[in-house]
Amino acid sequence: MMRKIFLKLILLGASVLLMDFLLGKGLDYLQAHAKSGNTKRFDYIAHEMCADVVISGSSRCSLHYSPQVFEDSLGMTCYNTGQEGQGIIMQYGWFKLFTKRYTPKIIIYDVMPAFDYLNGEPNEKYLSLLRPFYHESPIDSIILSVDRTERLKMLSSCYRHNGHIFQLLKDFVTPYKEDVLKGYRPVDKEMEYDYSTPPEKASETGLDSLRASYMNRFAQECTNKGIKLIFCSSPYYKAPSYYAANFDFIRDLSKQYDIPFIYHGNDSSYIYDKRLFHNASHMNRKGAEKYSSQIAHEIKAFLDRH
Amino acid sequence: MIFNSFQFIWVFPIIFFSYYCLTYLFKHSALQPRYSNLLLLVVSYALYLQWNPVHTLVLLWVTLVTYLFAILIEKRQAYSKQKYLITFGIVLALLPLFIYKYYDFLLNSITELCGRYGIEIGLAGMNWSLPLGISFFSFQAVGYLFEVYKNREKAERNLVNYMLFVSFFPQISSGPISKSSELLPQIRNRRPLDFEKMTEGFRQLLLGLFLKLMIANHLGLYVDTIYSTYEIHSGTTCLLASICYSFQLYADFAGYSLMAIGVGQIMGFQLPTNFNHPYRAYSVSDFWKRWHITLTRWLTTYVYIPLGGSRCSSIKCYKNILITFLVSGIWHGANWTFIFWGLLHGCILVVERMLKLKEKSKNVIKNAVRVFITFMLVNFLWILFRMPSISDAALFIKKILTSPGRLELVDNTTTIYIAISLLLIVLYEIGMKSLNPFKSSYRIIRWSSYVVCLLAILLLGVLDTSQFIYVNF
Repeated sequence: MMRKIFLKLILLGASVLLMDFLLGKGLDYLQAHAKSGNTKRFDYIAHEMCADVVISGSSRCSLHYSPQVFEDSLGMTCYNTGQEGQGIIMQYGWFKLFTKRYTPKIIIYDVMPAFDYLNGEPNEKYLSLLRPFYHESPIDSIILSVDRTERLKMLSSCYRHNGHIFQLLKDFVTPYKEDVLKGYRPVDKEMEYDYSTPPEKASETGLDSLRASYMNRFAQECTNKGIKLIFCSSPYYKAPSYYAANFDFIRDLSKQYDIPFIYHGNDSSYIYDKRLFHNASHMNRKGAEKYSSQIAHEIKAFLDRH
Repeated sequence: MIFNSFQFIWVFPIIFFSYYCLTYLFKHSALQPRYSNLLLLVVSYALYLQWNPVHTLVLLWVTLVTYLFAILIEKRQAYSKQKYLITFGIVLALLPLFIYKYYDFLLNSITELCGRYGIEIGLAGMNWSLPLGISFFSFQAVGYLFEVYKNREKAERNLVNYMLFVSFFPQISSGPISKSSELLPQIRNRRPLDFEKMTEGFRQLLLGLFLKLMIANHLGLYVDTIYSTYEIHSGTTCLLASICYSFQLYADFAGYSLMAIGVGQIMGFQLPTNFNHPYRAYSVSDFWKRWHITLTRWLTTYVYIPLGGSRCSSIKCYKNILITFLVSGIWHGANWTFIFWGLLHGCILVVERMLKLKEKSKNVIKNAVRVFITFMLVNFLWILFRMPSISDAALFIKKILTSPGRLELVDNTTTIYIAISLLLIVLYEIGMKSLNPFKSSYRIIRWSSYVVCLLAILLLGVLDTSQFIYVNF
């Protein structure tokens, strides 16, 4: 009977492995031949992008920084790689991929403490978009630095695409459309309520050592490659006074590597005007255009001075 | 060990293989249960130690106290001495549960109350983390003590057997809460290898994994988003989130129970069923016969019946129901929301008893309406279960009732996942047994469904090793 049990389990395991391999190959094909959407965008950032100015960060980055405004102001090509719910782990991975091909002149990094260096949700959540690039160095080492067991998990071809199947199918069938906004994803809605989600307190959460080390490496490598790195913090609706202290880590990092840090998190010309926001942590198009113009002007003035 | 963790994928096959080698090697020996029990005990304690070494002392304390007191109770024939021993034994066994789970809550409540009258209490809370499964193993051990006291069970003299009864790894963190008469005989006796039982165990494990990773976790993503910022969402959105939470909780807990039962079956044990399509209940009384069955059974046997049960005056019976549900609320968590939740369930049961509601009507439409009303009542009470405070729960319910607004979904992908999850769980709840591919008489369909199920988990499951909700209780 033992033989029967183990034979059946081996047969089931072999069937799953075979199907996993075949399905994984199919999904790899969909990813490689995506015509539109995020799948195409991620592939573009990793393998095609050659903008002079790269803007990176979380959803606050993709919603708050208009590349067109920066192009007009700085006279350089620009692309926004901001991604919802993502922080330094994923952005560092993309940075490593595109800097294998070329070196941008400027990187503007919109800092989101909760995603970039404060303790919070487990770091595994930042791996989802890196997994499809596992076989490209050094994405594998970044993934393994977060979770060593990923080496075994990656033996499954389907696991690499976990949670992306609908996106892959959609992006494969939807025809190509040029991304005229260059990664910028403005929202036209205005805030319908007057409610602020209090941001985390750095003094209570403490630092996440892994993400903090990636911030450090990111700053160091930009300096070594001669890329002008600029840290920014865009406005947060009704940000409390303690919010500024959340950026102490960035201030220290800026001093260490002589990197400018432009802080507008508590900027009173934005944070009390709900017409500029569509929710507590995200500005709408109106707010984003106003902020982009201001920050582009400040960066230009800074570059002119140096 | 969390069943949905990566650790389970590699640790369980090792446990399984060792267990079966041992069972196979000693299949003709009377020593078979002794060796396999020893192995299971080592595994159970090793996994608990890995969770938190200090908390293992709590597990040991509860085990040894109930073990010794059961023997003492059995030795003392005089009823008065037995009563003294059972009281003392229960107090000692539940002491860690009280200290870890309720001390801070009680202290905070007293401090707050005294603060209102200008009295300051200088005592500080302990803020200790809760030992894994403390509510479950404490209740299981106390249940055993009560059975010995009532002379329905002989005191277990074999310490290894008893330690395994309290710490058996599949059920320690979230049940099911077994009765000693169910589990101890299985521990004592030989457990022959049973292919059918094992296959069924793997099916239950796979189904449980599917419920947790494919349904509960997907619904949880939407529920967490809406509940954490309910102030800014419309009433309709809050209503949808509350319905999603009802199904998330069900898929999460039923998923865990199925996995525990499945792992138990693979090891040759038959653990009690914990769920029987609760959202098909015709009344809230019926719901409690279908939801967390082993807890309801525990409360009925060791709280409700000793209080007098229903064999007394109506008023006393109503009081007994309210006390039982108060205990249920307190058991679920040290927060006024749980206490209020338990009492409200008790009140509804009292009203149902007053109205003398029958289990089921012959009229299909009437039955459907009753199922719907029961679901909505339970659904609204789950809001108290999910919210951090009664005032938050009240505001959430007020929002649903007074400002419906338009339905807000997250992004398209999440909406697809929510729709699929709800559809699957409703189909599961309706219980279309004839459509269950795991039970098909065609081998090809059964095998294909196992492969598809595993691939679906790999491709679509939320594999973030998030904890099971009931582990927090």
